Amino acid sequence: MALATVTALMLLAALYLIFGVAPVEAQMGIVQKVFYFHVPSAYAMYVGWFVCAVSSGMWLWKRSDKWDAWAVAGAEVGLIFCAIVLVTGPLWARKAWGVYWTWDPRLTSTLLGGLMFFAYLVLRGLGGGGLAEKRFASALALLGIPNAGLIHFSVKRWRGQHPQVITGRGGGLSADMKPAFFFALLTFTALVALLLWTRARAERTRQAVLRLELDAAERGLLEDA
Amino acid sequence: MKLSFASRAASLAVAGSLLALALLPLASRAFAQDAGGTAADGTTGRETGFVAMTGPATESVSGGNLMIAAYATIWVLLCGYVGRLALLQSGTAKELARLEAAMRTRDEQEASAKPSEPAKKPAAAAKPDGGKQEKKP
Repeated sequence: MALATVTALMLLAALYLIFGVAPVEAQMGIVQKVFYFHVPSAYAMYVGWFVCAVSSGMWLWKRSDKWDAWAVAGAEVGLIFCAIVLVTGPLWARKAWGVYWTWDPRLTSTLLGGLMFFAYLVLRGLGGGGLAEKRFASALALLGIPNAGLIHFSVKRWRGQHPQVITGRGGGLSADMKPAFFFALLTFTALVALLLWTRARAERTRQAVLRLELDAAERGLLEDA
Repeated sequence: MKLSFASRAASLAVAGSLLALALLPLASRAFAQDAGGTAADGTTGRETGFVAMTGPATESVSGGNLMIAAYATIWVLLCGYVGRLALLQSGTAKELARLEAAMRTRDEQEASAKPSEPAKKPAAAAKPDGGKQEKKP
């Protein structure tokens, strides 16, 4: 609850910094403000997918329900942030590039990643929780790691249209824009941690209830309930 | 008046043909533009010169509207996901309550059956079947 309150306050403060403090970009105008939530969303997407892939690997090794819950949480949260990236990016691109979508390497690999984790969730949702489905879904999640690398390095390797503003050397971000951007990044770190923890906890509770239900059904307790 | 499948298909084909005929001048104009741009050295008009466009000179899409749409999408997706989590939690809580109620009912049944057993045992021993009927819940 404390983390949720802190995250909500941080979101409000981030909005104030974005719209009240950070200057409007000279060439693109006000639409560049999308950047302050677009890039942190992409970062949160990576975090979610990384958690999913690592937890899936751990589940394949340990077969523990705890890792399974974290894998589901990572896939879901990563997909939500991927959807944010894939919607806000084209809206910004319409003004910056003149088109909503282009088959740029980074855009294409992000869409591919989103489809992979969507397939993971469909498999988990429709598979009925069987061991074979979980194994297959875990392998699919592990494939997400090389794809995430592909998304990140595609700009450097293939030189698409996607800009490369944030680099290890500081990139081309104006000094006035940095506080808003880095605070938004911090806010999204708290947000992704909160969502992952809440979803994993909900999944653990659901697993416990399912186990209880199975146990109760075996003892004949559910017939008259 | 009900049209049969064949007459509907025929009218659709006629409408399609009329639309194609109407669009033909546009296509021929486009082809003519492309052919006219080719210079003697093989280069096209686009490579050798620029032609001013007709119509609005400024960008028609407002950056502010695009930004509002982007932020609205972020909030809708995040709030929708939080709502989904709340639904998941409440569904699990309901399921847990159902299980608890089932277990409580069973416990009450067992508790109400237990005190009567010692009292029945002496009487059951006197019966010819050894009290087998009494032991059944």
